[in-house]
Formats: sequence, C-alpha cells, structure tokens
Amino acid sequence: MSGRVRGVVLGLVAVLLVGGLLLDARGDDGGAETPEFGDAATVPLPALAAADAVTSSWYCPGVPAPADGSESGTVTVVNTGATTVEATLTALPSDPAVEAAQAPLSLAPGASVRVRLAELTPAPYAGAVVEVFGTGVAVEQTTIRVNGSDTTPCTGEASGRWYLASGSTTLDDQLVYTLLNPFPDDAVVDVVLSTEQGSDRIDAFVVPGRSLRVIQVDEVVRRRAQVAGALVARTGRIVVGRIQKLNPDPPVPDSPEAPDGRGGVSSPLGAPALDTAFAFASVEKGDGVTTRLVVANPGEREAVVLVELWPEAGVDPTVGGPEPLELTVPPRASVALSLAEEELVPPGRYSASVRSSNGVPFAVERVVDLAPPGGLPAHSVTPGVPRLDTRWVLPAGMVTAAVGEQVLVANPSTEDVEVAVRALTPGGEDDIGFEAVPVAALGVAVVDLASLGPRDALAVTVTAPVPVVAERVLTGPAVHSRATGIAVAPVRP
Amino acid sequence: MAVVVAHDPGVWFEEALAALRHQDYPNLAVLVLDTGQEDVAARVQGVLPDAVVRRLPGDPGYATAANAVLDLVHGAAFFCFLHDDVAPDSTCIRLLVEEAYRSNAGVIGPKLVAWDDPRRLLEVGHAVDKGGVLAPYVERGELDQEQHDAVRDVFVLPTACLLVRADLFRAIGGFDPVIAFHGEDVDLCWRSHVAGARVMVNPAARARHREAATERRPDDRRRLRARHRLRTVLTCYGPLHLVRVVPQLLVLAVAEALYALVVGRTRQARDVVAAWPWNLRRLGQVRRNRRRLNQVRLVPDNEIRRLQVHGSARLTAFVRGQIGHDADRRSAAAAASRQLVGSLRHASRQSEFLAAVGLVALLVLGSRGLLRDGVPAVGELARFPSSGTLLRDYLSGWHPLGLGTTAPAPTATGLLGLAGLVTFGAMDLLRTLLVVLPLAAGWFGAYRMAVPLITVRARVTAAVLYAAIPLPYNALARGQWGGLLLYAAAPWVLARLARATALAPFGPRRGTAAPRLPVRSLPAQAVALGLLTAVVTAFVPLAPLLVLAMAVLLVVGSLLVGGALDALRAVAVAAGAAVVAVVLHLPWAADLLRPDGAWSALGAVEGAGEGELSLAALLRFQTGPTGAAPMGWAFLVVAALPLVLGRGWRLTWATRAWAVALGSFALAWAGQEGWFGRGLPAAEVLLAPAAAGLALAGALGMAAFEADLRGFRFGWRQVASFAALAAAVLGLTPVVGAAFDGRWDLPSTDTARTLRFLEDEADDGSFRVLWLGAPAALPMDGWWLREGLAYALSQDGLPDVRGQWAGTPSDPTLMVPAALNVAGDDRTDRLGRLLAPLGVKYVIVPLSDAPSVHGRPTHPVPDSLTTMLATQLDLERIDIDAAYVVYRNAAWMPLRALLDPAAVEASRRAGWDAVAATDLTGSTPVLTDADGVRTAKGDVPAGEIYAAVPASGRWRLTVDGEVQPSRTAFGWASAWTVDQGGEATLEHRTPVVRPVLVAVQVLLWLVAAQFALRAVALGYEAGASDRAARRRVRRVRVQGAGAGAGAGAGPGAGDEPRAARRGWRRRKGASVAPETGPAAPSVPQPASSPVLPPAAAPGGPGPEGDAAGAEAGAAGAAGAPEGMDDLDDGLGGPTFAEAWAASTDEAEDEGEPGWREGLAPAPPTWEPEPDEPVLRWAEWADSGEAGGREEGR
Repeated sequence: MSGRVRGVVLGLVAVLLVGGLLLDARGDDGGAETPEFGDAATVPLPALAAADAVTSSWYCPGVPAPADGSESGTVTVVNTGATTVEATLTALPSDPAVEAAQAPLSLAPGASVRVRLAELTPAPYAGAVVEVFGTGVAVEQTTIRVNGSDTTPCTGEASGRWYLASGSTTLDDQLVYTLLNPFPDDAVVDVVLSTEQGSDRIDAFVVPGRSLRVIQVDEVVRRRAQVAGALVARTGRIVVGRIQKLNPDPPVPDSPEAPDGRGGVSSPLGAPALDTAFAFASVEKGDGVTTRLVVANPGEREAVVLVELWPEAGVDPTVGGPEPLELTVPPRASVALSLAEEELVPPGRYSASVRSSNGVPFAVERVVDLAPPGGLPAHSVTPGVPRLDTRWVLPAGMVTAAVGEQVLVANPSTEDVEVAVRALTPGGEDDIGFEAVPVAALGVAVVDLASLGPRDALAVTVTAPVPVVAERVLTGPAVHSRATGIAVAPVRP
Repeated sequence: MAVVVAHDPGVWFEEALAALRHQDYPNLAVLVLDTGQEDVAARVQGVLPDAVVRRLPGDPGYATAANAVLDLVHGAAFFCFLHDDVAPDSTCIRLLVEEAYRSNAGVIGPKLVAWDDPRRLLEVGHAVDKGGVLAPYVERGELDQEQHDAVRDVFVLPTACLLVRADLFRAIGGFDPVIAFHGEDVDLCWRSHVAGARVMVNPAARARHREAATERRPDDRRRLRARHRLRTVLTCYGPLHLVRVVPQLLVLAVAEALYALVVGRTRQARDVVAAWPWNLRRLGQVRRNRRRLNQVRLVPDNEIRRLQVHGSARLTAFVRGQIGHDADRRSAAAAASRQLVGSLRHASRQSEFLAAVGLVALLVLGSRGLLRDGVPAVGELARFPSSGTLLRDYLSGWHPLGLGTTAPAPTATGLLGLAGLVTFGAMDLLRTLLVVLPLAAGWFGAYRMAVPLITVRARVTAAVLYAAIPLPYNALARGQWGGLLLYAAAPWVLARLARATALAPFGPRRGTAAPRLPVRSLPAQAVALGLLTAVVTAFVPLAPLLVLAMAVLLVVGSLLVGGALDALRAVAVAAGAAVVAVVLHLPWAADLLRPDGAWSALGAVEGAGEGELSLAALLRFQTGPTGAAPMGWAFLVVAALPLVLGRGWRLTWATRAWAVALGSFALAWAGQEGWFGRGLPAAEVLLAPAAAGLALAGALGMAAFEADLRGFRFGWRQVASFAALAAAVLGLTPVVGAAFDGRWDLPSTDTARTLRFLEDEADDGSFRVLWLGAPAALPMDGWWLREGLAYALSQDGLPDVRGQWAGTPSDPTLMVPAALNVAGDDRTDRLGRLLAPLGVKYVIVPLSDAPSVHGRPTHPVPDSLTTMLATQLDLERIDIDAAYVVYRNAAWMPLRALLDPAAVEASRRAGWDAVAATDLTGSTPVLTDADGVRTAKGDVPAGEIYAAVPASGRWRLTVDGEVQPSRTAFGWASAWTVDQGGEATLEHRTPVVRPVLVAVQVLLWLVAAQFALRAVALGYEAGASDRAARRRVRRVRVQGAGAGAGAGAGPGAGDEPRAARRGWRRRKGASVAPETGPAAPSVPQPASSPVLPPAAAPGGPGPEGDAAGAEAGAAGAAGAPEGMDDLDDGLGGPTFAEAWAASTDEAEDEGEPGWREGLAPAPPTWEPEPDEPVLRWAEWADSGEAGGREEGR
C-alpha cells in the first residue's frame, strides 16, 4: 500500500476524530436539558382550568369558621361554563379534633353557590377543597367580620413555596397564616418571617395530609409593623393564605383604641412564586386612602425595583409616562412604597407596574387602608398580578343596598381599547350595558355596577381585545374588598 | 488360538502373517477375522495355508470382530488377539503362554517395539489413573536397552498383541462392543482386574507394531477416548467409588474444557464435555454391563485403585511436572502430560498462557463480589423467575406486560427457561453466569477474531486490549445487560464478517488466507452468523441492524483501501444473518416489526440518554465510572499503531477496523445528540462494535510491530510503537483499578431490597406498579411517554427479567400514557382515580438505578413530572429512599375485585369522566389465590366481578363450574355478572395456535443449529481437506528431499535451501499456502497465492528431523513410487515420528482441529521443540508478503 493511501487514512481518521470533538464541544451547552413533562405551565395566579379538563380543583386557603359566629367565612362557587357540573366541597378544619366534611354541589350554567364553612366544620378556621368533575368553575372565599369583609379568589394550584410580602403584628393586629394541604401525604414546611428587626424561623412545621393548619404569626413575631413571610415546603405542596385582622374587635369608630386609624380584615392568597414583573389594576392616592406597595425580596441578592404609575386617563405612548420610582430591596427584607409619602405623585388613581431592573425576582402586594370620614376603616391586601389576560372572571360580586361593586380594568398596552363587562347568568353571559367600555392606553377604566340594581350574586366577566388586568372593588360601610379577577388563559406580560 | 483382526491391511500384512507362521509355539491355530472391504483370504492363504479366514462384513469394529471368537472358537485355552500390523517374534506367543501359566496371568502381553526400528520401544503396558487416563510406562521412542524387561503387573495392555485366557474372556463377555476402538484395551483389562485376573507384561516376548490403524481410520480419537474412558469408569467402579469418583471427573472435565476454551481449543473442550451426554444417553447399556460384571466381580475397588496412579495424571503433572513416589508411574504420568506442559514452554505460548491466567484472574478479582453475593437487580439486570415460570410464560398466549397482551412472548424467556434447566433450576446462578461470563466471552471472541492474524501475540493483544476497554465494566456498573451481551458478541460478529469478505488473511482474496481457516459457503456463513445474531437478538432486539451496520462499515473502510466489492460479501452475509435472526424469532419478531409497532419494542426508547455523553466520553468508552482521561485515550493510541506501521493487509484491515470503530462512535454520538429523531439503545450497545474494531486494530498493530517495523529505519515509528505499548499498559490500569471492589462498581443493594415491601402488598389484592422516569432508571423495559421519559407496568411488585422486552404496547396499555398526559396537562388532579381501574396501586419514579446509599449518578426527571404527581389529590407520597419517588394510589382498586354499586355504574361507561368522578375504593379483592398471572381462584359472592385485563373471550370465569357471562368494563377491561356466588376460577385460555407456533419456532432453531453445525463441520472438513492436501504435497516434497538425502544429500537437505539454512520448522498445523505443480491441493487456490517456503519439517535439522529425513530418505532410496496414494499407504514405511504421532494420545490432546480433518495426522516433527526456532510470523509474512502487498497496490 502506498504512502499516499496511508496518509489519506490517517488524515481521515484524524479529521473525523478532531472534527467530531470540536463539533461536540461547540454544541455543548453545559449539560443535557431536562425535558418537561406536560403542557401545563405553572400558573402563579388564580385561573380557570383548561376547557377540556377532566377534573379540576380549587383550594381555598382558609377563612374563619368559628361556631359562635363572631366571624365567619364562606366559599362561593360559580359555574362560568355552559353545562351543569358536579362538584364536591370538602371543608378542612384547622382543629384536628374536627373531622373534614363534604358537601356535594351541582351547578347549572351561570349558577353560584355560597357555602358557609362553619356549617360544615365549625372550627377557628377552615379551608376548602372544591373538586369539580369538569371545568368552568371559579371559586372565591370571603372572610366576614364585624369590622369588614374581604372576598378573594381561591386557587387551583398548590405550590411548594409561598410568599407573603406584607403583614402587621402591631398592637391589636392579628396576623394568621393559613396553610392548607389538600393532598393525602403530609407537608413539612419551613417558615421564615422577615421583619424590620430581623428574621424568625419556624422549622419543619407539619401540615398533615388533607388538613388545614394555622400559624398565629403575631404570637411569633410581636409588635412588628412589617412582616413578610416565606414558606418553603421540604416535602409536599400546600396552599397558603393570610388573614390580617386590624385593631380591636368589635371596632369603635374614632376610638382611641385605633390610634393609627386602621381597621378591617383581609384574607388574600400568598404568591406561589417570585417574579420580576407585576401589575396592579389600580393604586390610589388621596384623602382617606393609604396605598402602599410592599416589595419583599426573600432572595440572597439585592433587588432594584422600578414602580411605574400610569394615570387613570392614560398616557400618550408617544410622550411617555412619569418617571418610575425606584426601590432598593435588600436581601431577605421587604420595603414599602407609600404613595402618600411620595410628593412627586399627585393624588389620583393610577394603574401600576412593578418590575425588577436587575432581574432579581421578588413578591409585591398592594396594601390599601381606608379611613373614610365617619365610616369604618377598611383594609385590603392584593397580591401583584404576574400575568395578564384578555378574559377575566369576577365571580363573587354583589350589588346591594349596603354594598356597591366596581370593576376596574387596567390597559397596559399602548393602544386604546374597548372592553366588555358582562354578567354571568344561567343563559350565559348577559349584556348589562357595558359592552364597549373604553380604556385608554396605559389607562384605567372604572365600571360601576350599582346601576344594575340589587343583585345578591353578581358574577361578571371582562373581555378585552388585548391582555388587561381586571379588578373588582366591593365597597360599603362594613365592606371594602379589592381583588384581582380570575384569569381564563393568563399570559406573561 | 491366534486371532488376527484384519481390516484392509496394507503391504505389511504378509510380513505380519509370516511372523505368525514362524511362531515356535507348537499348537498355534490362526483365525483371521476380515472386517475390511477387500477380501484378504487369498493373501492369508498365500502365507498361512492352514489359517481360517472369516469375513465379518460391515466393518463391525475391532471389539465386535474380536468377540466373534466367542462363537467361532471352542476349546482353546488362550486367545492371542493381534492387529494386522503386528509381527510377533517367533518366540513371542510361546513366551506369553509360558508366562501366563507361570504367573497365572489372565491377560498378558509382549513388549511392543517399532515396526521399522525394533530398537525403539513403543509400549510395555500402561498404568491408568482413577479416570482411566493412560499413563504409559515407557517413553515412546525410547531405546530398548532391556531396562523394562522385568515381568510385572500392569493395568492395561494394548490390544495390538494380547494373550487372554479363553475362560476369562468368556466370563467377562469379551470386549465391550460399543467400544469399537480407542479404549477397548482399558475396558477389557479393567474388567479383568475386577474379575480377579492378573494383567501382566512379559517383555521377553516382543512384537513389532506398525501402528497403521491411524492411517486407515480417521477417527476422532480424542473424542472417542473421552467417551470410552467415562464408559469404562461407569461400568467398572462399584457404587461407592462411583459416587466419589464421578464428581471429581466432572470437575476435572469442566476445568479442562474451560482451559481448552481459554487457549482456543474449542474442539477439545467440546470433546471433553460431549463425553458426558454421550454416556448419559447410554446409561441403560452401562447398567447392563455393570450387572454382567458384578456376576464375576472378585476384587474390590480399593484394591483396583492401588493398581492405579493416584490423583489425576494429567492434572498433577500439569501442575507439578511429576507425581507420586513410584518412579515408573511418575515417568508414565509425566509422559501423559508432556503435551500439556510442553505447549507452554514456548515463549509465545507462555505469553498466551500468561494472558489467559491474567484475564481469568481479572475476571475472578473483579467479579468475586458478584460471584459470592449475586448480582443486584440494577437496570436491566432484573431477577430471573423460576425456569418453569419462564417456560410457561413462553408457551402462554397471554403476558402481563403493560395491561396485558396476547402478543407472542419474547424468545428470550424460552431461552432462559431452557438455560434454567441446564443449571437445574438455580436461576440466581444462571443470572450471575450470564452477567459475568459475557466478559470472558468477549475476551475470548477478541482472541479468536485475531486468529487469522497468525501470531500469538496479536491474538493476545486483541484479547487484552478488548479486556482493557472500559465498556463492559461501565455497562455492568449501569446495569446495561444489553451492552454487556453486545460486548460479548461483537468480536465474534466482526470476525465472521471479516471472514465473509474472504479478504486476506481472513480468506484467499487479495492475498493469502491464514492457515486453518474453515471454508464455508456464503449461505452457511449467513446461517452461522444468523444463529449468533439470533441469540443476541433475543436479548437486544436491535442486534440485526447493528450487524448490518458493521458489515456496511467494513465496505466503507474498503472503499479507502480496496476490496469494497469483496467486502460486499459481508453485507450479504449480514443481511442473510439478519433474515435468519428474524425468522428464528418468529412470531415474536413479527410483533416487533409490525407496521404500527413501537420503535421502543426494538430496545430503544425515544430520547433515552440523549445528551448525557459527550463524544470525548464515547471515544473513551466512559459511559460509566471507568475510563476517565487521560488513560481513557490509550485505546485509540494503541489502535492507531497499524495505521502508522502497517503494510499490506495489516494496513487495509486496520482501516476497515477503524471504519467500524468510527462508524460505531458516530452512531452512538448521533444517538446522544438526538439526530435520529428516534431513540437508540444504550450507548454501551452501540459502542460494542467500536470496541471490537479497536481490538482488531490493536491486534493488527501488534502484527505490524512484528512484521513491518523492521522494514523501517529507526525513527519515530519505533518511538510510536513504544508509545503504543506504554498506552496499552496505561489503558489497563483503570480496569484493574475497577476490579478491586470485586463488583465492577455495581452497588451492593438494589431496588429489590429497597422496595421489598411491594412483595407483601399482594396479600391485599393483586395490583400493578406504574414505573415512570428516565428509561435507564426503570427496572424494566419501558415505553415512550414523552421526550426522555418512559413508563412501564409490573404486576404484584417488582418486575423480573420478563419485563426486559416490552414489545409494542397493547391498545389498553396506551391508556396509561393517556392518563398521565391528562394529568401532565393539568387537566386532572385525580390521576389516582384514572389509574384505579388499571389496578395501579403504586406509582414509582426511580431517580437512580440503585438506592441512594450508593451515591449513584441519578437519572433526573423533570420537575413538572414530580410536580404533577405531587399535586394529585389521590396519590400519597411514601418516603422510602431518596432514589425513588414513591406514591401510593389512594384511589386504588384491586386488579381482581368485586365492584361496589358505584363502581358497577361507572364500569358501564367508558372514558375518563366516569372514573374520575367515581370513588372505586369500595371494591373488594376477590380471586386472591393466583397461580401466576393467568389463573386465579377463590370464593366470590354474587355481584359484578372485575378483572383489570383487556376484555377478551380468552378470559373465562367459572363459578362452581359454570361459565359466567362476561362484559366489557370501563370500555376495555373484563367483568362478569355473577348471579350466585361460589368457588370461582378465572383463567386465560391459550389458543391452540400458540403451541404450534412455539413448536415451529423450536424446529426452526434446531434446523438452523443443525445447518450451522453441519456447515461448521463441512467447513472444517473442507479446510482439513485443504490441509491434508497440503500435507500430502509436503510429503511428496519431503519424500523427494528424503530421496535426495538417501542418495547422499544428507538429512534435511531438501529442495529449499533457504529453509534448510534457517533451520526452522513449520509449526504443527501451521499449514502454508499450497504449492502449484503436479500435486496441487484439492481446494483451488487463487493464482496469486504465493509460493511459500516448503515444509522442511521431516527433513529439517534436529534430532527428529534428522531421523525423519533419514527415514524418508531411506524410503526414497527404496524406490518408493511417486504419488500421494502410495505415499499415504505407507510405502517406504512411516517415519518414527509419524508413528509416534499416530498412536499416542498426545496428538489428540494437542487440540488440533481433529483427526477427522486429515486422514493422516501430522508428524510430530511439526511441533516446535521448546528450544528450537519456530516459524515466526515475520518470516512467514516475508515469504507471503507478495500477496499482502499486492492487495494494497
């Protein structure tokens, strides 16, 4: 064999080996990607189940359900679909001595059912699991106290991590974390409570399978004006809510026992995940209204957060909006931005976006305290909205003599749009006169449903041509509840 | 009465008869028993007019012929049995008779000396050991200086000339007619001892023996002797000694067979082993012989044993070189084992022996933990059920794979079931052997693959390099049984493909074929390779495609260096083999290959292992813990040597070997990169051909080192050679290191221990386990779920080996991924309920192939999968071990259950909605007395009985003997409405066609095996004919040389002065290319075959050579006629060396291809003497280089 052939063979072998190695090195992305299982994306906010779901479940993290009726909690189940669905509501009490109880439900299209949990499982607190053999059902829970009530969505997602950015345990404030474990196996949770004076921990808090457990936070960290909680499950998955009760009970208007003028109750969900951008349908600055945006950073890096406020009337996109406000949130800490203290922000209603400028994820909540002249103080907490949607469901509304309902729709897009607000009825979605509500670019539309007349149960939908944020505000002498709606097919903004 | 048994005797016959005529014994009568085709009566009458001649037609054999005297002769006192080539001295028979009377001997024989040279001793009786192995008292060829002339007792006398008392002969029934030749002497003498007779030798009586039988009877003497020895042992010992001796003989036989296998003497191993079944089949005859012998038994076995050599003559001599304290027996036993020891004296043999010892030590060292503690159930190394279970499963028409299938059972279950019978049901032992022995099989395969490369060092290099490649150890560590089996098979396959090309030296094309290669037709090769492929395919279904790929890669390599058209023969053989393999696996193969079949059924899972291994890791075979850089690169360095040094076919075949290796690497890499879109088997399976290719290249490197390096001036090539040597040594170190833990990094615990609780769960009702996760982590073969994920189902606990070949999932089984996808898409949080009607009680996600205590590399699963499972309302997590995510299905219902009313209602509907909304936990288990998976019994109440098996008329429920009406439940399963409770039986009835198909499949295997064996035999015979022809040619030349010598040219002065000058001899059996000329070989050789140096053996220098040359010269001087036939008939007489080789066990123990291969055994002068220079490959290559070099031109 000639040397030429030998050279060809040697060269070919060398080229193939070296070339392959180079090609392999170029394509090396640092390890194999772990494939995903399933098409379901993690939904970090309450959302309806897929239209073709076989079963779906809603988890209500907990409301007061004492037998004495001093407080109460209800769960409202609304069928937003077009067919009758069967469901089972299981009430899970916080008292281990009380057994869970079930209530079968059958919901015609557009129908809603309100269940008082104390009637099923009288206990200091009770959570609920609503198991739906089908889809199209939305569920909210309501906490009712003599000094206020709060209605917030339940969730269809359990998580191993929950974040609660705000909370207070100052004098006479009560802060309770409710931990619902809807699954058969136990969950073991580590709790980190970050306050202005440092952190406290509760390690290995066990939440038995199919039960509700509460953490009386004000007994763990006393007299703290700002308490942020991070709950991380070692095993299992849970749903975490928080019940904040402000000031004495029963409240006395203008009582010196309410020196800070705050009062009321809130019972929203925590945030199941950190994110880098959130939205709020509205924030307000004005007399009697104190709005704070509380940003919690449970991570190990400092977060730089920009808060952009867009006036209710909208902004000409070609001109641009006001200068964003910047917050620097140290690791494992929370920082509150009080609009009242921001002199550059004129009074008024704004839509808001809160985003991280350095990529550090965070959690944010909007805390609103109302101190209406001559009325009861009110309090509401609303988690930031990490996803937008073109369609929202606001299930547990009402218009009565004592309670008014408004629907706020924020348009984060840079074009003017018209949205439709309709009522859910057994016949489907009814035109209630708000078929084309204009919403300016980056503006907020306010739809007052009082014009509809008294309705004990008023579930409405919001449909928009672009992703928006919809919020419901229930107001009355003893009611002040603000809650983001339930998304149908949420998308990242 | 002198009894001569004649069988077509040669020209010596008259001389033998004349010797009888001259006997001085006064009353000698002669009876000639003629067993040949040619009537010898006239020849007898011409010499012994008074002799009686009786023809015994049909060649009954020596023993039967001799026994004829029992009927033909009456009144004689003695029978003196004589071969037709024995010439007793005139006083011989008289002296024997006198001594018989004097010593009261029952059997007595003379001193046998060489026919042509009576000064040299042949035999003066033999001793035997306990196993009947002969231990001659004299060294053959020893000069007779009266040193053995004492009359004495011996154990065995040859039947060449044997005086037996007639009454004794009658009493013991004469010779055993089954032992026609080779061993009849031991049998007769042993029985004589048992009967109380003395067996003696009287050396004063002398007879010349020509020992011409071997020229006339091409018997496979080694095989016959092994059989007959064992038969004699079984016949002659009493029961107590049998119990003691037979196991020892069995152990020795196994050891000898293993040793023979290690050193490449497969036929010897086969002969040793085959003696046992041969005798087992004839136990009835043995019993009859024992009964007859017991009637005359006078001497107990312990006295018989005193007459025998202690221990094993061969083994003891092999180990110590000497045995015992008795000088005679010591020398006798030493002679008996001379061949074994002598074969190790040569340097190349020593390296071969050392390599074998080293590899066996490596195997034992590295596998000692596995041999001691068993193999853990890791990865594909699942446990084996009982042999009966496997066979029943194989025969059955229903299998519990997935939710159950009526597809044909994998052939592997049948093969393993049969193998279990061989191990007498010791399935753990079988499993251990099937895990450990593939290592040795691979090493031996590499050794055999390199046989055509001529040199022993090349073979040793191939074996050692193949053993040093980390592939099998990583396969073991990862529980990849398939990779291990492919590792074992790859060198065998590559060798067969190489031979199919017939490219030199694997065949005669484009050069000269290596010696001793069998000649087979392409169909025969295809069937032989197909049989091998079929065996591998039983366990690795993708094997036929890999075999085809290897053949194609050989063609690709040939495109560079020539011979592509010839290499296409390999593709044809591979294609034929693939077809044979597929046919042999029908009907299972039909299920695998059906149009709608799953790709995973072929042993691949989509996305399996993609991206786990870089190309660098693949090139180092580092698929597991062994083989890290830099030493992992050693194999490539070693294998590159022939590309640098090689010439001729060393270079061309190195290129082809590299083509196979590179192609295999590329295939494995492409699989890792996911380029195929389809899944591929584990990397170890795909890399096995690469390992074989590199081993072949390494062997070629050694051949090039020996042959080609000296052709270059001193320079970088020499440095490269030593670098390759250093790399080879370095490359061994990781494997040696891996061997020290004694388990090849396999964990000591396994899934079976960690999840043992599953075994007890069946008490609460039969159930299934759903396994989810990375394909490599599943304890059984899985089906594709989503990218990188697979699922599988086992019944009533952990899976066993039957789950390793999943096939195509049945339609009902596809409900499992459907349910999982519903949950994965977040369309339900009631996965437990969806799985409940399937009987799934546990969902297990293995994150590793072993418990976490071993810190094994994990097989991660996507968080979304664990999240999905964690967010199901009816799956309860059980903490067992960090390596397993275990969920118990809280909504489970038993696999066989009495449905509660809600479940009855739900079961009448199909679809997820029905089961998701229904709590089925109220159903209670029934039919809990299960016999396997196809029959269950128990009392059932009235109601709806449910079984989570696909609805089929083959499932039948009888209650108190009455067949119950069935219906479909949940749209797929079976349910029966039982109006009145009672004792119930649920069973699956296998269709009649199934056993028929099994019978057909078994028949196909037998036919293929028969065909392959026949082809092998014919191939060897063809090769033997070739060799025999070459030998004849050589003898013609030797004869000519001898004639020259006889004429004064002197010993060894042949017509090839070069060979004579060098003074080497051809190694025994190392035949050369045939010469052209009048004495052309019977097998045609290409015209390009080179003319090689002639065999100088008989005429070469050295003592034997001198003698042979002298003999041959004398024969030539005597005017021996020209022509092979005449020569083969012995005109001029055999040389002493030929006679020596023809009449001793040493020749058969040599392990040469066998007596059947050549009518005339090779003379011993072909066996290199220890201190003699031997034909080195380089010299051979020099002489044959023309062909090799031509190939490259």
